[in-house]
Amino acid sequence: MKKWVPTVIFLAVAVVLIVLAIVFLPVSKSVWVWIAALLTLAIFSILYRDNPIYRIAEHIFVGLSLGYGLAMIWHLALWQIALRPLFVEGRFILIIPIAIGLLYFTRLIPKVSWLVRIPISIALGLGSGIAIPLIFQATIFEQTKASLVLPEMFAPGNPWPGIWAIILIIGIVTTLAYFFFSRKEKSVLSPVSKVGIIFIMLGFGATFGLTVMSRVSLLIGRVQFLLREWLGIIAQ
Amino acid sequence: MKRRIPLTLTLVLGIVMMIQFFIPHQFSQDFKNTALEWLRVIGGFAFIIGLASFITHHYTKIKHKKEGWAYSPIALGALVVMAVVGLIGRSPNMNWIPVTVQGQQISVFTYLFSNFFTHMMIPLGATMFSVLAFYIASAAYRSFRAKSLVSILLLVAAFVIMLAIIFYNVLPLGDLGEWLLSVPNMAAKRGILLGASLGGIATSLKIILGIERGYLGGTK
Repeated sequence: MKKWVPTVIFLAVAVVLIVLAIVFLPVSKSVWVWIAALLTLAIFSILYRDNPIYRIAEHIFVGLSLGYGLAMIWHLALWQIALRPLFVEGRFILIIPIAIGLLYFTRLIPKVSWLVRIPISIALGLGSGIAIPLIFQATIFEQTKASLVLPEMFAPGNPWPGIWAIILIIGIVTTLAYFFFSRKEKSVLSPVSKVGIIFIMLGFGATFGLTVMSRVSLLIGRVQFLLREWLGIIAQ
Repeated sequence: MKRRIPLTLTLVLGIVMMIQFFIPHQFSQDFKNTALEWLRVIGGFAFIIGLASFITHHYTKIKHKKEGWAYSPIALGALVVMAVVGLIGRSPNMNWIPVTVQGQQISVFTYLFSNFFTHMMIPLGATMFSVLAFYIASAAYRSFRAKSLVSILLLVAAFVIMLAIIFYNVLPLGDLGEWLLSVPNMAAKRGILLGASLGGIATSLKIILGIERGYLGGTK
């Protein structure tokens, strides 16, 4: 069988089903709903196998996302922060970041291509300098503070919050011990890291379960869209 | 010079931004806000370079008729259409070719931009992620084999969470799921987060001190 035959059969079946739907069902009259529905079906066609319809939808998505990104970057960063204040309000200091940003384009000129390192180094320097104290404050201190075992957690008659807090701190310490790779294979930390792997596996399992459910929830959303907004089979 | 200037810039700016954090003065705060604004502007140009790379890649594919070249014009076309519609449609003072939508007069570009986003980008993205539900189930079937204690724990935790979400009100599954999320899962997540944060600090320090020089590229 030729490579394109399954795709043609798939398309033919899809067209027949759509025609039947138009004739017998209260389908949507909105062009945009039709576009959304056909693109949804095009993406679902990957469940059969890789095919041109899927690839077209995939490339449309990539192009649209980049176009959207460009429009957003232009309006929210380049125009709003740099060009409008420079040309409309006369804030000439903004020539500096614009000039630094333009240095990215020296990458296209081999003789001066090393200048591209300047915007990269400025971005990395500023980013790293901002990140270090921020990580300490927002992550390390806050997460450590939230993990403290406090006496009021052991209220008379309900000591469970305190017990869970102790288990939590054991889990954090043992998880960190598991990721301490520079220890020797049979060090004091080995049994501790074995406890750590139990917590890690429970955590990964829970995360996996949540991920599956979020994907299933998206799937339900798409099927509901097809049946409700597009075909009108289920009530609005 | 080609390496020294970027390394010096990284070192100086990194140290200045770290010191800035500890100066509780309006000038220091304004300095940080300006630095963040400049970062956004510089980042905007980096995006354009990425875009140029995307266009070059697809142009080369079309030119040399490489495998799958027929899809490249579609990607480029979608990019151009969305970019034009977005650049004009999002501009506040441009009301070109007005159309009436729900009693309101808006530019046709604004109308198209809004609909491209709502009826094309969102359904495409949501469907792509929803398709993962099938692949994730198939991956789980292959990898979730109860061979050892740790794999049993993984399996049980995943099932408990899934069942807890479905039968939330059926006790004790809901409570068990919540406990699993808030105690062992939180412990593992927090441990990993703390480890990653320490790693992030170490990497940032390595960049500032010039130990990590990957961003300079291979040439002198």
